[in-house]
Amino acid sequence: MALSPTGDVDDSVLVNGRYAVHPDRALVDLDVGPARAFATTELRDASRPLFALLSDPRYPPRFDLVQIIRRIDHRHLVRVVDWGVIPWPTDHTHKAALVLERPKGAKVLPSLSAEIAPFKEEALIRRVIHPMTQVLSECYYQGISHRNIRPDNLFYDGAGDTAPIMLGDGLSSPAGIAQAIGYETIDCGLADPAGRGEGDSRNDLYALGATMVALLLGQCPFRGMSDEEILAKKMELGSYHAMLGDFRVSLTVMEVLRGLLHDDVGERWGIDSLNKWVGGRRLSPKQQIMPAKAVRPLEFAGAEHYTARDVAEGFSRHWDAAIGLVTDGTMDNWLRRSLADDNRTEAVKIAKEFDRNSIDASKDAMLARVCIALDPSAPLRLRDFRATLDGVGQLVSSRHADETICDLFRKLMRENLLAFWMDMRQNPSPDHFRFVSQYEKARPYLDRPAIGHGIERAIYDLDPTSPCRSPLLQNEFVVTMDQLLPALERAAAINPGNAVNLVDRHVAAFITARMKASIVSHLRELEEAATPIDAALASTRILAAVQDNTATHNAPAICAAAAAMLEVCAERYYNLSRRKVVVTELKKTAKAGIIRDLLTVIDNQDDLSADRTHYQFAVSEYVSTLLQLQRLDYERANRKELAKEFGAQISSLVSGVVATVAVLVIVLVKLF
Amino acid sequence: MAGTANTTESAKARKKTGSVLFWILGASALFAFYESFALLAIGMVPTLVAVTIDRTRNRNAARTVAYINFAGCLPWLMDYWLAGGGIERVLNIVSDPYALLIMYTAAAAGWMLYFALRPVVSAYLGVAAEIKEVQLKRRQAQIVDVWGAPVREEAEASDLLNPGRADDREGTPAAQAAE
Repeated sequence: MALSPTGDVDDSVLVNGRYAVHPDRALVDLDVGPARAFATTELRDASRPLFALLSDPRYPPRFDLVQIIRRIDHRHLVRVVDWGVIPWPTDHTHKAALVLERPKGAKVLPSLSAEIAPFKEEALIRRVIHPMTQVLSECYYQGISHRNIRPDNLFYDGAGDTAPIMLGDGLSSPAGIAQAIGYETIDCGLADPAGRGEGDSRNDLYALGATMVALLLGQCPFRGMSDEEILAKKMELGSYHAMLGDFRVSLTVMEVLRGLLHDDVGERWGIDSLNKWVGGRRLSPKQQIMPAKAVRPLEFAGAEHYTARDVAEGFSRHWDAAIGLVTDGTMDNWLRRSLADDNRTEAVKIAKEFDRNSIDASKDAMLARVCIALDPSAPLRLRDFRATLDGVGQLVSSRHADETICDLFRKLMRENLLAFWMDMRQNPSPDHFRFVSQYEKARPYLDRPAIGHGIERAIYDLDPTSPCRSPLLQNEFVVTMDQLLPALERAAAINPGNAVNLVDRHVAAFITARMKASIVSHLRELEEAATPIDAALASTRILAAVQDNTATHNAPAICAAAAAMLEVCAERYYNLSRRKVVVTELKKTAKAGIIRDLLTVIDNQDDLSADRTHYQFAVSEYVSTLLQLQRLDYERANRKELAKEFGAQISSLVSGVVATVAVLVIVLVKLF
Repeated sequence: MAGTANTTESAKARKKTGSVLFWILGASALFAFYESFALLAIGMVPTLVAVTIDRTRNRNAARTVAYINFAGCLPWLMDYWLAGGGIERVLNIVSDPYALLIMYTAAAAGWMLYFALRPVVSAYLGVAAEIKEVQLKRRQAQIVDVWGAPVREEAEASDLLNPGRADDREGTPAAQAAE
């Protein structure tokens, strides 16, 4: 609920207390991939045209780039205003919302299946290439990629189709995930959409080239084709020919298109080349060298494969059949006799030699290496796991619930396929070394079953934008440490006072990966906890550390859940009334919402030590009473003898006294 | 070792010397006061019987009888001494039934005291044990109320209650408390 600019209360939700998103006003035309668009109003300036893109919880926005892209103030790029996590009333979840300025006009291409009047080359250069070059240059100099350039993400910034054209959102979902395969490079297109990775400016330039082709054609170049058909056509003909076909363009445009759509990333134009072209410097069009074709095809799975890249892709799509072809030597024969590519033959030989040291009996790793050897520029492929080097973490994060993907990721890491992929790359970039180094760091965690490690830790280490995937937070969106406790507070408030363990494997791994202060010792305590008491204390210590380190506001619901969990710790006190006092104090302290204070109450070592000492004295006293009762039983059983003995003693004493008195009296009487 | 042996030897020697001295002095006294001893020997026959039949370590029964029996003999002993002594006097006393009745009645009173106190003491012990048991159980209940059942379980498993398991229980809080 929020106040509208007119002062009315409506059902809108505020982003950072400033932008009211209206859940009842969906803007379907402005949806971007999995992100949904809704009308938005700025409270201070209701006339400002805004809209918000709400991310799919599985695919978080690239929130780490928001601050950077806000620095780019360019009229041909949709302006990102702000972002935040908001409670969404329709499904009672929390979602990431990206607030953007709303383009004044419609999409240049209403949808990828639509058709428009083709752009003339001059108009394309003036209205698209020039402004987009400026935008991409800005992005390049800020060190980011847009990764969402396609004709249905271009907008007219005004009424009619003569208005300036601006580029739409690129941050509302992970890089490349919303991109149509026709606008992705072949290398990225071979990957799972969630595993395409951040990429770089060359991915944007390729997408710009494909977008230019679409505008020249007046429709998408691969309209009506499936993703597999698009990829096959691109691999067979090369992207330029696959897109343009028989369409004629001028030498000027051909030059830029050949440069931008070059399938060899090393030969593809960079931003400098494009700027030079825009500046009027004409470069000779680059001819793409197509991969070597075999004399005879390698036939399997009902298809003919002529190139190494084609074979590798075919293998990756028909995994089990491919293993037989590789192990029975059919592929080796084809490589030697039909393809006659010594480099590939040697690479495949090396890949198969690696298998001798492999512990993978399924031969999956062997085939993955063979695929890498056949097509080193392609993504890593291991059965259904298909990701570029920088997209591995993103794929595991978005598909974390898929146990098959997780198992394949473990196998990929265990078999060190990334290092092999690097070895096979001809010109690895510094970024590649950086990623491999990250994976190397994550590898030791994977096979450790301890809490705070395992695949959960790898997810948060390898994908810095991954939200916390804890089942406790399934209705929340937590990507930063500051968001964690408030989200846990809301989760705990659903069943107030229930003893919910708020530190599960995902939460522990998320904290370990994101928080600067170390919680390793607490995690060890939690892992080695032999009793519910130890587990409750360790979990609470972790939550207290988070609260201390994030300066989060008070968390009474978390405290209530922790207090309920910690009640069992009161059993450490021997004194029953002390237990009740401690539990009462715990509940009272929980209301203040400071987790550390709960530990002060329940884990007071001086108090516990005094209680232990007093208990030992109580045991001693009880032992004493038992011994005295034993003595009484003995006396009861032997009362006759004891009475005889004590009676004799007493009679002797009495007799002595009486006799003494009598003697004194007698003596006195007789003498006087 | 040699020192300990020497000490034992010297103690035995001292005891032997004391015993000899006692018999010499006893024989001398018997010789000097044989008439008084004769009177006491006849008057305290019940005591001699009690000493004979009381085989307990402290001979409390014999003591009880002896003390009062002696008090019963004392008036005639005093008369004998004040009358100047003489065996005839002793014979007169011991032939006087009244004197013997008093002496032996005193001894009988000693026996009565001895037998009468035993049931009284027995009853006292019974009542005292009941009261003590109630107090102890009340205290146990209080301890369990404060500390719970584990305190009872731990106490019942204590080595002090199972001496076979305790080799060195001295110095423990339980042992100190028991003491």
